[in-house]
Amino acid sequence: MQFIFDHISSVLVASVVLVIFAMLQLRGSQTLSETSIHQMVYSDALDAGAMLQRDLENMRTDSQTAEALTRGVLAGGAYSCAMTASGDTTLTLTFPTLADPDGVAALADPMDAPVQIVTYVLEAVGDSASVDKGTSIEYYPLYRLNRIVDGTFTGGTKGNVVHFNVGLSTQGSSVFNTGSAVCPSDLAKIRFELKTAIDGVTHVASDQRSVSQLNLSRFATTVDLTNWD
Amino acid sequence: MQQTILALGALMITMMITVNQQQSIFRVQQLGYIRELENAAMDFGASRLEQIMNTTAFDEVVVGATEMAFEASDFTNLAQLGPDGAEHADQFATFDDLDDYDGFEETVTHVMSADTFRFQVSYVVEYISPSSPNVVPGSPTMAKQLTASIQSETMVGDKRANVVMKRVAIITDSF
Repeated sequence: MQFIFDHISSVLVASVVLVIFAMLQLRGSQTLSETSIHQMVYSDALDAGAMLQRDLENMRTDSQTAEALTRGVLAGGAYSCAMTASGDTTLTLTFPTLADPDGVAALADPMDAPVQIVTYVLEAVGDSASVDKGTSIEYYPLYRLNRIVDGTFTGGTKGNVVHFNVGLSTQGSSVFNTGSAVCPSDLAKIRFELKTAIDGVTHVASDQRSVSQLNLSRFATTVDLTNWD
Repeated sequence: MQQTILALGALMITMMITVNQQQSIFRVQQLGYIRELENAAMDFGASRLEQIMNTTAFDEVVVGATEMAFEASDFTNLAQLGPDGAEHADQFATFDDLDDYDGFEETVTHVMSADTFRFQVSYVVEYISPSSPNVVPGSPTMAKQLTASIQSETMVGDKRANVVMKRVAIITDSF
């Protein structure tokens, strides 16, 4: 009898151990997926932010763009600096910027640096990403942030964007205008916010549910337009 | 009896592995949360430092000046950096020059993409040598460095997001 009981307890213990290892394996793979998704969504936000920040930091003024036109180094049309918005979402942002900021140092006259009119267009892709917030699941419509120069889509186009908001501020003001507007002549700062998301890990069971929200990432910054001072 | 002890031993080892695994999962997620908080802290820092740099004078003696007629020796002594006169140490709205921020601390609420973050921020202002920025000079120079240390009020496990951002102001004759 003692022999049987010993075996029963061994079977029970072995079953418990197996279940625990199975749960660990499941949770481990889920975490791996969560962190990979977070890495992807984080780098998407950073890449899109860095691309926009670089263009904004090298933004040209009206007179600089006119000079570029005179010198024949302007691409993408005449001077244009404006944005359109719907609610707190920026739909388009157009401004002149240096085509190759790194190449300016090699030029004898920096004013010979090629300038291009770049347009960022937020385009709905007809899909959504869900973020599990514990008490509810929020669905974010997905957009693509297209970077267009002279009617051509450039390599900088970014996907997985769920929020894009740009604010323009004038000299001495701390208020950012996020509505549709033409760039004011005393534009001093531009602030932008980006949010990216990728669909998270599939809901397996309530106790294995991922509510980390790590499939959502944010990037925002304020660019001081020293060139415009 | 022997097998029961062995079984209990196996359970204990399994439990230890489970706890370690859960801890490892938590650490990985913690890094993700901290990175998000750091992004928000950097956003706040960029905006605040830019605001300070554009709204305050280089030094008290420069406030209201219309031309550059100063030597480095005219600027605030190293020992006197910080709020002075009518400025209140806890009210940055009264600050009119850069070194007033030396020693200033504030708790701020920062909104980023509809998410709200709270940070504790402390500032340090020091003179630096324009030609050797890493050397702290013994007397006033024509360059001041503002350092903001931003720490998230929210803790993720036993960690907070910490970001240090710096801006240098150099006084020139382009008044």
